[in-house]
Amino acid sequence: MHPDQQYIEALRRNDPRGIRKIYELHAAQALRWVRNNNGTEDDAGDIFQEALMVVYEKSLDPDFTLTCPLGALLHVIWSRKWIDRLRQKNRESAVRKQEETRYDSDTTEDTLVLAEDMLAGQARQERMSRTFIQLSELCRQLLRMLSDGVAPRAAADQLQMNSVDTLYRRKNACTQRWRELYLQIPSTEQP
Amino acid sequence: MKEQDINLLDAYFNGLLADNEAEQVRQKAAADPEFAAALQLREGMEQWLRQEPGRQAVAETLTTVGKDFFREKVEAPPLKAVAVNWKRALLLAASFALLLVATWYFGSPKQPAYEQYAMHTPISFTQRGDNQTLQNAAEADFSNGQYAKALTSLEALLQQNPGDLTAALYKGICLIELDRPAEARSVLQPLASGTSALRADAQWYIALSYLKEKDTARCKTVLQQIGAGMDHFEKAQELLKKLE
Repeated sequence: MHPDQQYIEALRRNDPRGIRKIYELHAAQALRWVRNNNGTEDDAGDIFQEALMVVYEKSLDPDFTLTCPLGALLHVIWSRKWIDRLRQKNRESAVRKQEETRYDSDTTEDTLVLAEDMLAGQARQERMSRTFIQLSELCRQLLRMLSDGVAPRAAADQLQMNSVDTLYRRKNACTQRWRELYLQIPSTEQP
Repeated sequence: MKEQDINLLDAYFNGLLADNEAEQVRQKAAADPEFAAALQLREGMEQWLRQEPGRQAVAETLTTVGKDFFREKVEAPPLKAVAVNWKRALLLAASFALLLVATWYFGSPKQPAYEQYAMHTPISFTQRGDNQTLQNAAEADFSNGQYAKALTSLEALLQQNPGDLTAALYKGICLIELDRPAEARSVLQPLASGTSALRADAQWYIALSYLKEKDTARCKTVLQQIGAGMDHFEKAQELLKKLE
């Protein structure tokens, strides 16, 4: 286990002090890198936050333990994210070629593999999110309530449904719709 | 995918199957890759829903902390030397003053403020144990508006008993009072997503944290989740009307 595991725990617990420490240690490097690659300070803030969300997603996996320096991992992730963003704007060439491949001395093959795995995991979550918000307000409310542990009878009452049976029928239809929307995403984008 | 498989997965995830039937679903997944993929996707959806409140809370913390590290410095344009027409300037200033007085006098409806709604019920710990000194200190400091001191006692109580929901709720309130709304929400969110008696309290204070930040849209979204019959429902409806 790498000593930086403490920051993974801070993210998982949403501990503001630990999270602030991550910013203190690595934000300046992200800012420098993005600025060197035609980005602004705002871009750097966004991309650094996105990189931390990628790591947060992985931190939710109870089997995950960090085995490399967090700084090197974040560097790979924000670089990939920034290159993707420029690619969307057809400005990929704006990233200096050497910066695309050069991270720092701590970057090993394992770090690159882990970063790719994390980025793929977060892409799945984003697809879930993107398709969930396409559901009706009622579906979103119903699925959230049941997931939050609201008792089915209470949820049915709050949503003005006649019975728990109706609630479950509706839930099944909502889930099916969500599944269809998710599967409509081209297979190249699916997990 | 066959309709009966979809129905089977619905029953499985709605917890309507007996243990042996649930085991059969898992065995079917082990033997049938298409069914396994469908099961995995449904598990992913359930997990995404469970993790969403935590994800939002972390994103909020990152946004708050990030502001201290990434601030776009907008440079003010250089001042230009201009010739001043004093008569015209005085006339403009007088018109502006008149407009200010008129606005004040006729008073457009004001947005509700956090302070109007921040009326906290005093802390009252229902279970007294070895931590009575800390509990007494938290109760007294909170009642006296000494939120930083109360927060210290509440954090000590939570360290000893992380499951103390009352301490968690009041820690959240103290953080709002101390202008740390994102941290408050990360403390309150698990309560607001849970099923305890403090659920509505936590939702109400999350809404107030947004009100304090003047984030009307998010404040309204949370208020709408406080259903009829729940604590704070009437206040939530009143605030919603004022925010319209």
